[in-house]
Amino acid sequence: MTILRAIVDTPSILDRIDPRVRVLCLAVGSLWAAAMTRPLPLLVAVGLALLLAVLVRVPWSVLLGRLVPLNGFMVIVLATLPFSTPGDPWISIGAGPGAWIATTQGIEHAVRIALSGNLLVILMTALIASLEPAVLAQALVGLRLPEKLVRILMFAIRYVDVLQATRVRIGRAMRARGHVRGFDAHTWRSTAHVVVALLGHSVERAQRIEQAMRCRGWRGRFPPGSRFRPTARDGLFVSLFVVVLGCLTILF
Amino acid sequence: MHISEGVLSLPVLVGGGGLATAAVAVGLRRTPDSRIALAGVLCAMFFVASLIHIPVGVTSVHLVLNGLCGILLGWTAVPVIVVALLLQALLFGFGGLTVLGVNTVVMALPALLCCAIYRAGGGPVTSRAALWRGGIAGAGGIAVGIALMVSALWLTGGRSFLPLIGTVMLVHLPVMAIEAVITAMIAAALLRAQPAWLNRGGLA
Amino acid sequence: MAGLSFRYGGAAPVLRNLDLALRAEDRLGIAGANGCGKSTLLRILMGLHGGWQGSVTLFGQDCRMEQEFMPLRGRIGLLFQDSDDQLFCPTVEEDVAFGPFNQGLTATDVESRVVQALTELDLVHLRHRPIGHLSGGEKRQVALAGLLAMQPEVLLLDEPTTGLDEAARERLIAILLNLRQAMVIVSHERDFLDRVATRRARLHDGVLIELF
Repeated sequence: MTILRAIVDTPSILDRIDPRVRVLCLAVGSLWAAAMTRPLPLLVAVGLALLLAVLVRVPWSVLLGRLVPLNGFMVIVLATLPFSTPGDPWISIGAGPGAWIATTQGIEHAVRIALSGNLLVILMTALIASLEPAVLAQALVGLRLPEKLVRILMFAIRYVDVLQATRVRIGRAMRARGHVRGFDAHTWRSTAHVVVALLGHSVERAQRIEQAMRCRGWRGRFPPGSRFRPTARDGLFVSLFVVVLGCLTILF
Repeated sequence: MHISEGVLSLPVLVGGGGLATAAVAVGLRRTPDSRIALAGVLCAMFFVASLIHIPVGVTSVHLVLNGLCGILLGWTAVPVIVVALLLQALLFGFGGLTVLGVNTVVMALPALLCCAIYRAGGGPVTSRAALWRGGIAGAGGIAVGIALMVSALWLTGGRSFLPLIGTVMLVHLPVMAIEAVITAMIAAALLRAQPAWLNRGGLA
Repeated sequence: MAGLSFRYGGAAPVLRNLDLALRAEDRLGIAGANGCGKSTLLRILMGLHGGWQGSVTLFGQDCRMEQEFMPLRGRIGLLFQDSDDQLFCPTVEEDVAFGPFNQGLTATDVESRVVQALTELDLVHLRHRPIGHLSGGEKRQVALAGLLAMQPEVLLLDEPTTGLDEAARERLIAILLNLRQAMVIVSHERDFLDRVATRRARLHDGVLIELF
């Protein structure tokens, strides 16, 4: 059972786009969405991001799995913000001084929040979905993130599934001995013991990894890894992405 | 424990990003090369531990363990937390790139605080002291995190965000209680099994 | 020429006054029960274990401190019992490149070493595969490729058959019989040692007994 893997393993149109370019586009898109204050461009952008997700063949189950929890929160935003924001009254529930008044400013703000939240999650899923985590880490090296940080990321990506397998084994062993999780001190204590066991496994594992690194002559630096070579196609993709964002800003 | 994409205003996002960048830079400088593998494996560990759910009534809460992360790793906890959040964002869709900075501050600042509190006076020597300090670190890790989330929301929307702020606080109360209990038990167990990990210098 | 002599004496109960010399093209198989100190022996030989007494001579050089072991590590490759410890890079290619890169080779030389090692073990198709997607047998072979890429003269193999199914085990035996390096193979599987080792020894109560 693997947790960290590409969500999409079927070939997609983004496969031939440099992973660094995809991460860069995500960063640009995220900034644009965070800075955009009008709802209409965001709405159109959500549509385009969904289109991209369909083209990349992101499974609906994955997309919904991410959007449903997000929109649970957005429902609260949409339900409260119109009434708690001061401004021009748009609709009022009840009458007199105790009436609940929804303002246009509040509604606009709430809609903007809901749209940009959805946009960013969809865009991220579509752009990153078909990337292997290992390739993603290589892309971040290529984007000149601090070496140490990316190495921590690489080690983490490498060992998440190894430790998850350990956790699953421990959990199975506990259930095999009749452990049922509930709201009680026994559950909490055994959970604490699972974490302590995982910590022990991790520290021992890290010690052996350090030994293995020394065995192979490690002196504090890592090999640069595979090089990406940006092509004209990558340039085209970035240009298209930026032009679309520009059009959204101006036209709507 | 994270704020969703789209909620916060640009100045708050930028401010959080700046703070997080500075903290990560300090954390990385204080992490020697020889501890990178350990930091990475423990990052994987905390990621996996955050998948553990504890039943609470009809629902369940998952472990956060940012307090424990701080106790064990000190400043190294900051890069470890930012990497764990990045993985959660990119691979699970929790949080996202724009709120990564704010979310890092929300989790890492309490972690550093917990570390300072836990190690105050040279670290606990008795099981009871470990239990208490662990509990305080567990609850504090979440409580300070909630305070930071609330501040970020307040700075974005002021009074109009009050209902959201209330929701955030309410949702995280059970998390805080569970974290306190579990972290206390972990600290007590660690004191018996691996006392050296809890001392100054800890693992990192 | 790989000449190892190793003496271990004193307080630690695991290994007592061991003598071990290895000639080129020897494949020394060391058997012994769990916990008898086989893995410890290999770790001491790599300089990964402190607190021992006696002397370790690698390639005619007396080794005690980290600085003395370090330059020799490229000439000796240790295959860990758990390949997950050894394969810490994200992809096969990066992992195999790790050793040659540390030896200070140029990018082109590193790449040719990687290709050479993968070709030698018939693993070229796995080159860009993330490590997490490999089977247990593939992991063991990739770990071995990572050692071979450093072009070592001696290989130390710690329980190389652990967790391998029948087919992977057969494949490993074929690979080992094909390699020219001197080897110390530690295993509790007798028939495996019977098939690959040219010399046999048994570690019992901390004493190494040469069998033939």
